Amino acid sequence: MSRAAAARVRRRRTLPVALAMLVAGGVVAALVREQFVLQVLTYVFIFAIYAQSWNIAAHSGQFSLGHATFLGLGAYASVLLAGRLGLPAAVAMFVGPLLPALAGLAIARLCLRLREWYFGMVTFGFTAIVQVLVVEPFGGLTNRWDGLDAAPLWAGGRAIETIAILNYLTALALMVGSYLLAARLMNSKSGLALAAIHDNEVVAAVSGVNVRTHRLMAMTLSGYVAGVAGALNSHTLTRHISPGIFGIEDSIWPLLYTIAGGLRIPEGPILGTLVVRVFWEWALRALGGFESLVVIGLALAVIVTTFPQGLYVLAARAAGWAGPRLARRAR
Amino acid sequence: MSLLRCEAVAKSFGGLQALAGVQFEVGAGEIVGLIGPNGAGKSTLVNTITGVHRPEHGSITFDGHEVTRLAPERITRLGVARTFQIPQPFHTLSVLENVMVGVAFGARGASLERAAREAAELLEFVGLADKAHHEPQALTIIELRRLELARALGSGARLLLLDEIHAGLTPKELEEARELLQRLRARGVTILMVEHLMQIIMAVCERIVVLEFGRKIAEGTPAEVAADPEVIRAYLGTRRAGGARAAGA
Repeated sequence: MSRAAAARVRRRRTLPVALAMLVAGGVVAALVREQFVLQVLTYVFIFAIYAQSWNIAAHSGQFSLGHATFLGLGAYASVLLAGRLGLPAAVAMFVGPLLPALAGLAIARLCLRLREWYFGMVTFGFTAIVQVLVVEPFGGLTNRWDGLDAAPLWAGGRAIETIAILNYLTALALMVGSYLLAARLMNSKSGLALAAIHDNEVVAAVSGVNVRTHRLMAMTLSGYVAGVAGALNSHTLTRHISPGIFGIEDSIWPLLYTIAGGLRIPEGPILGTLVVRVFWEWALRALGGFESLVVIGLALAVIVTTFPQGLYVLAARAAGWAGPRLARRAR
Repeated sequence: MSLLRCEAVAKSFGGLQALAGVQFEVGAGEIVGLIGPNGAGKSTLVNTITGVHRPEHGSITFDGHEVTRLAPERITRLGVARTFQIPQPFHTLSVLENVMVGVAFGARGASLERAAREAAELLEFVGLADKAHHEPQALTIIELRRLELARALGSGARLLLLDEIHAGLTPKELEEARELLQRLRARGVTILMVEHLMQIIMAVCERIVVLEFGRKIAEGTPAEVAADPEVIRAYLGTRRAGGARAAGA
């Protein structure tokens, strides 16, 4: 009995999933020549990283409604490091996000006693505060509402098509990296602590879990990963950064993608971002204008009401390899 | 030698004095009962000992360590564990994982693999081995109490605080629970149990502490406590007070 039990809880295999994602992404890159498709997929990868960062915080019960704070700070810090200090974008992209990591730590510290909606409210408020800070006191640095141009990640006389492919592959690799990070974390001892905190902080504490350090750790890591997504986005797709990034929309995306794909499951944000975004782009093209938004809204409502545990659990069930563990998680 | 010592412990919530200078000791290996009418401060005392509440006055020492102002997880790691009056499982974790949390983060601080092994053994001990991979939602209230017990034991408890784990059991379940308590004792665990069921208290406790309105009104063997006039007054009221209530009603 005890050995079987130990085997059951041993880490789920994540490396094969990561390799499969790399191979599938590579095959698509080799076959697809249409710029638009590559761009949509690059967006999917970047926002899957962003959604994953939100998922990490959510795994500890910290449901942020202001994750754009970290996305935006990461982008600004990286763009400024590259623009003002002349750091290569590839380096700035990983140094800049230390700022949102710090912001995540600070916000988590301030919100230690808050949970659920109350936590969400405060994180939401912080996005507005940070936007004002970026525009006003630091306006000289950030060029206020006009924003800044971002140094390209891949440049130097390459063809546009080559740059598009390189952007695509970079985003793919980083997405797979963020997947491995989240999966390893959730399956680790710390992941067990985060899940316990998610379920009941008092019982977690009297079971010996240091609630405070685990909550701070989750939000710091989440802030960093979100920052990398923001930096990657501005150095590849948008090539520009403006205070608009601290808008409500950018805080809603990670919730939407993660919940559609599977909350607190490392594969969830990736599947959710892919399905929702591709469907969204298709609806925009096929139906146009506001009709598409009606259809998208309906589709999301159907997903959430019919498969509240997300598309990943649905797909896993269909394939017959979902343990009860996954279904439990996604609540 | 006393394992747990509470000295003049006081805790109030706003104007309500929940604990007004409680003083008692629990010796290593003892099973001590904590009784008292509703609102006497029993659960508050358990919460204060485990660090969920901080007392305003007094001191609590466990095994020579001052734990009065320690965070709950620090107290747990020293070897104090508790169950909750209303079972509170981690609802998105499996039964096994629930116990693993205690083993992995309690006094022993085990790796995940070792935690899984030890948790499985503990589930066997409390009779939940076949439910290891169920979700807590699928458990009955008695099974949930056993899960609480396994999680508490898993954290490496030398002192176990049991908050009304016998409420609402059938006679047959009570018999099983009593047998489980004896096996717990055989493991060398010291127990402080809050309980309303006098038959259990009388049968298993060596010593009983009686609280009323946040004060200790009696302490002694079950027989001594049962004969104590203060205790009888607290539970049944004096004749005059009873008459006054009847007249007022």
